[in-house]
Amino acid sequence: MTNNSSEYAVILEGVTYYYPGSKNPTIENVNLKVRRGEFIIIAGPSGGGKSTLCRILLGLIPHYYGGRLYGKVVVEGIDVVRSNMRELVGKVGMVFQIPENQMVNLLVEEEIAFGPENLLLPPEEINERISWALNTLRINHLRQRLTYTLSGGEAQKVALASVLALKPQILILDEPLANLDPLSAKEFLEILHSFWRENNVTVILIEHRLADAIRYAQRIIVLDKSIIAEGEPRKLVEEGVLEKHGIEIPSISKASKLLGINKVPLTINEALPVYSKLIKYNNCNPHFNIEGENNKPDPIIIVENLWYTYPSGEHALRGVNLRIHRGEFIAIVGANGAGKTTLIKHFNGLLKPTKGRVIVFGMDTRKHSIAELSRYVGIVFQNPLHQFFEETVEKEVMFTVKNMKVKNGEEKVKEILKELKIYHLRDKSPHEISAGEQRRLAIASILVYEPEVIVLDEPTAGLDYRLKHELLNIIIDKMLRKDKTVVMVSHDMEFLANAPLNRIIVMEKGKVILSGHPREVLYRVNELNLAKLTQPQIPELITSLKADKCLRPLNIDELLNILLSR
Amino acid sequence: MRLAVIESIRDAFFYDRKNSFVYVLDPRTKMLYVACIMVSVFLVSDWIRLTLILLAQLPLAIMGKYSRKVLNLLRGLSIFIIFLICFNIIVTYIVEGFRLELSSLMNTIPAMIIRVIAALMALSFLISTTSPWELLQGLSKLHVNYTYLYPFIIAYRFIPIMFNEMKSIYDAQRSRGLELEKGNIIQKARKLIPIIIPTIVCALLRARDLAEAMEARGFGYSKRRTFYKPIRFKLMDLVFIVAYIVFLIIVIGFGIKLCI
Repeated sequence: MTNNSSEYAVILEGVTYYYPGSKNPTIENVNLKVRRGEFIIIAGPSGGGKSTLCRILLGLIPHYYGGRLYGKVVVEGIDVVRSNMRELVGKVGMVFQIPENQMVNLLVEEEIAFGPENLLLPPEEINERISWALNTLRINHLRQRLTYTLSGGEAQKVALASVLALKPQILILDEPLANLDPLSAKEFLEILHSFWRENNVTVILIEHRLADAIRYAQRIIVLDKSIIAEGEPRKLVEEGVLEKHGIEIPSISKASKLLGINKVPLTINEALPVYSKLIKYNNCNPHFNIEGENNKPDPIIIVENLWYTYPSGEHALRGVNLRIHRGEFIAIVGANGAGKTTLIKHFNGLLKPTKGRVIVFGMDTRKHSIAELSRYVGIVFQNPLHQFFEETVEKEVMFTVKNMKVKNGEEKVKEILKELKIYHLRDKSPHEISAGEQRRLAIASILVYEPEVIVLDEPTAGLDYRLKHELLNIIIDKMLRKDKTVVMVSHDMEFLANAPLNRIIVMEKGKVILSGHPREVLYRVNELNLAKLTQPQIPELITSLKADKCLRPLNIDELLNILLSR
Repeated sequence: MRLAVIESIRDAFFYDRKNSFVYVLDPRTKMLYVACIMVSVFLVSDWIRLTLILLAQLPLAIMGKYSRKVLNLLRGLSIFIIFLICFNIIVTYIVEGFRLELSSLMNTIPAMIIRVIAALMALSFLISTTSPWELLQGLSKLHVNYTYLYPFIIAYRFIPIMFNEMKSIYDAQRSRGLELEKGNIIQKARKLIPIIIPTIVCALLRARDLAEAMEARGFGYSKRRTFYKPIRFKLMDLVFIVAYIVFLIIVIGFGIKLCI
């Protein structure tokens, strides 16, 4: 026992757990040993029990949640079930998904002091720990900031600092990157990794977007109710285990596998030596064409010198010009707070221009009501939970049908639910269904009245790889094929690289700084970085090889086409 | 329009750190100061002395750099103040036997307005220059258990977040054709359901996250807690509070002499 507990940070043996009142276990027969000082990633589909596992390691299950827990749980030598939560406090630290929901205090230093204060440490010691945590994460400049003014990336680092101040031996992070823009996500991982390297802690990272995280992991565990695969990252990638379970692997690894490259690279750097031999780029004529700004006549949405100023005096939009044509598929990208959501709220009149004008299907948005404009432009917002209030899935869609006075409403509802494959759930509560189903329901409740333009705000947030793929198919089959216009706000770069976009519009500080074909935009590294974005992996590879003057593949298929056609 | 009112009030009561000596004062001093002002404005009833109390607060507002907030607050509350005045006129009208004497109104209405402003300024001073954590420590020193105080801090922090969330929910439902403006009162009330239910659901999810995060960082570990920056009653506090108390006593005392 003593030997085991000194070697392992976590021991789970035959762990099964039922939430109170639930007949089905959320996790079943989980066996897992994590060595001290190990860096592991737990991946798995949405709803596979990853958050439940975190709660068990923290002791929140069973001490806080109740329910039935079977099996043995030993964390840092402490039997979680038999002890109380107090013994675990400070030994296991956890960073949660949404930064703003885990902050209690107003000032950053107060927030970091919160844990040590609870544990009755003396003031001198607490101050030492505050400085240490801030220095370690290189965020000393945030010390006196108010927590509600932090950006997502800053807030998540403060959340990590406030956990580190307890000097935990085990650090658990539950999808800490989900709400960050790509550049902040990358930075957060780098900081986390260098902290792990310099301090003897165990890191358990829950993440299903592996593209950036995989290089740091010593071991990956795939959890879908029980552990269905585990092992060293490269081995799992090479054996195809991750893809089989619907987990996204780095595009560069996937492409290399398809090309039959022996030692599959996990990062761009690893891939460079191999690909520099495959891709020759001397004196070529460009093989790609960049259709410039769309100059077709009769745009359906015209945005002219649009300014929007919030009552607080903050300029959210500063002179945006934009024309959208029928049948286009457009992505609007940019950092959090760049004005993307403010812009799309002008398309159906939720916001009215402070200066300039917006014309939608010939109507000046200032002179028409939201209800009128919404008939033409349907917006699906980021969080599906912001719209569910009815008892059943079917009624939820009926709500829009009634408001919009759609003819043959009931038939339309049936039809759309069937098309989006949620008809079998029609009598369930919108809160009972899974994240992917909720997203489809939110889309269904807009698609049902057949607006000409569909605007999707961060549609991939919280979706795993498989669900994203499904979403893309819905966009193509149910919208683009029916000659609808689709505008998507997103910073999911890999998703954008795979979508058949006509244009990408990059926003920064309320302005459009770049607009053009994906082949143009996804290769403009400077502008992307300015907007806190990164290149998708395939364009990054080509740019690193300095071949972007000749070839500009956006995704794996295009890269393979180029390489195999030679 | 309605949102703007709520926003200006929220802004006035939100802590915002600036460089000024008022931020260094002991929270207990500030609480005592607010208590003194409150008692004084209710002891004094003529507008001249109320104005003196009001003016005495101005240096603080300027030094604490929160005068803009007070103006915002007044703008936000103007409707409320007008309502109060009308209410007062009606009540006086009834109490005085259905007659209005202009001279008495000329005395009571300005006094009332100034009283409200003076009281609000004091409150705004306390809240916008003291972080909830400092207030918490101040009250803890007065032997109030911190676990009872944290709910207020959390409410203070999360009300703006929930307020923003409610706006997003309203936007999402309006995009689905919800029109709050149309219909009679009962229909309008019913139309609030699509806004209220998602707000509650999201608030509950937030509460769960927050509870877990707090639990994991040892909230409630012990009945006591330490404070990383202990507050101290300094000479400056003494000078500050004595100065104001002396001033207030003189103002009140002056009135007593007038009465005699």
